Amino acid sequence: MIDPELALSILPDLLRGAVTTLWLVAIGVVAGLSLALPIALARNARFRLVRSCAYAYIFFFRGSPLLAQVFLLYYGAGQFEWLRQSALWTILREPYWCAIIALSMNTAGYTAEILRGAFLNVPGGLLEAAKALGLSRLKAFWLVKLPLAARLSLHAYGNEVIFLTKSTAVMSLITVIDLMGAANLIYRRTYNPVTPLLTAAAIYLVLIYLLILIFRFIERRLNAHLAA
Amino acid sequence: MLDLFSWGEAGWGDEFLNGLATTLKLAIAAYALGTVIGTLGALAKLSKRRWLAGAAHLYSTTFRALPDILVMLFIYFSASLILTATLKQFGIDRFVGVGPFAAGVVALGVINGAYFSEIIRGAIIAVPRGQFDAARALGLSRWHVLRFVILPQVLAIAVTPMGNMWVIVLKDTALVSVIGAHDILYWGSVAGTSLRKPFTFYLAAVILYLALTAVSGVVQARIERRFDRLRIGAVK
Repeated sequence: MIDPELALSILPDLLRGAVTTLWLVAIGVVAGLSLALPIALARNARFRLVRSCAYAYIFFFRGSPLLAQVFLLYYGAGQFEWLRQSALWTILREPYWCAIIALSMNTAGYTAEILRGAFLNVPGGLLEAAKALGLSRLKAFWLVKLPLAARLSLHAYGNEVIFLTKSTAVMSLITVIDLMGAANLIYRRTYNPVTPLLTAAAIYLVLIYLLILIFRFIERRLNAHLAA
Repeated sequence: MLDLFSWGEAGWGDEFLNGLATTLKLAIAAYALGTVIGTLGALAKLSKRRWLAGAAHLYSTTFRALPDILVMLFIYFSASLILTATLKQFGIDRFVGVGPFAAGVVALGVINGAYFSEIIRGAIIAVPRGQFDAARALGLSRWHVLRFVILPQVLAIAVTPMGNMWVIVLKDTALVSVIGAHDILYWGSVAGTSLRKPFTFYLAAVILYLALTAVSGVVQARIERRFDRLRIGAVK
């Protein structure tokens, strides 16, 4: 069942899939953060409509499974004739693009909650000091509130990126050939499930461990002033 | 459009309700298994025997780093093979199959057990040692201390993360639809494909999951309120 020769021979295919996985993670992180920041700000906005929309977004993407969300997007888009005729179809019929959209919106929901909590936990005294120093609301946000919130959310966000990396495996179920998809293809080709899945698992462990090391390094650098 | 979800032959309402029952059964079974594994794992991690603590840490780190779908597919595809091959060693020459429900429960239980073991370990550590010493000084037996002083505080600390894990397990059950278990998402796929209305039925599935999450949130808030008076001494 466990075939070392097979494991070595499929390594190139699996690593090619791993590259796709890494791309999904990278784009997911960047797009997710870009979406999450305005949503987190909207959660504490002055207008109830804005607040409710942000809450609804977060509730939708945190309250339902990612698999259901991506099925809804990828398979669901094809139900509408007007959508299939439109220009959007070139994007929405591609599994890779649907994967990116679903992953980014999903992680943005979780990240927005993390950021919201971090914003609330920024020490009030520092914000008052910024105001006392005459910084405009915008400058106080960009130079004081946001960097401090970023440092506070680092631990939780690191966990979220790890969850994101694990979630990319789900995209293999809409025919994206990432690491998980490659392993599945090899299983269907060789009728041996154990070797490809175990090898892919090993690669996932390496990837996640690298991510943990990266975040530990960032945390140590940014929290150096707290070290004993 | 509502007649799509009616009972009986033409409507998919009864299938979705069956799917809801399957999802709940899966989630409860996986959560229970995860709690058992998590408690054993937490105790193992706190044990003085280093090999036991090391093994528990290895288990928990590994299963928190692997994608859930990979573990589930591995168990579903390989369990039958491994079980059959193992039993052959004992002279039993029959094919042993592992169904999608069982594979799902085992996979989700094992994966989330890793998270549970971290939660319970953290909760046990968070109760100050002084609680135990003071209770013993008051003359309570070791068992009485555990049952009436330590355990309530451990539960009070663990209740929020455990509540979050319930919602996580609930959403994770959706993965079993791809290995053939008849849960909510499975029926969403089947109905959507056969009626060429994937958006409608996947949206219905999503709404069902959202309802489950919302109800779980309300119940969790109620339970947490019952534990509020027990959060003494330890950091929340």
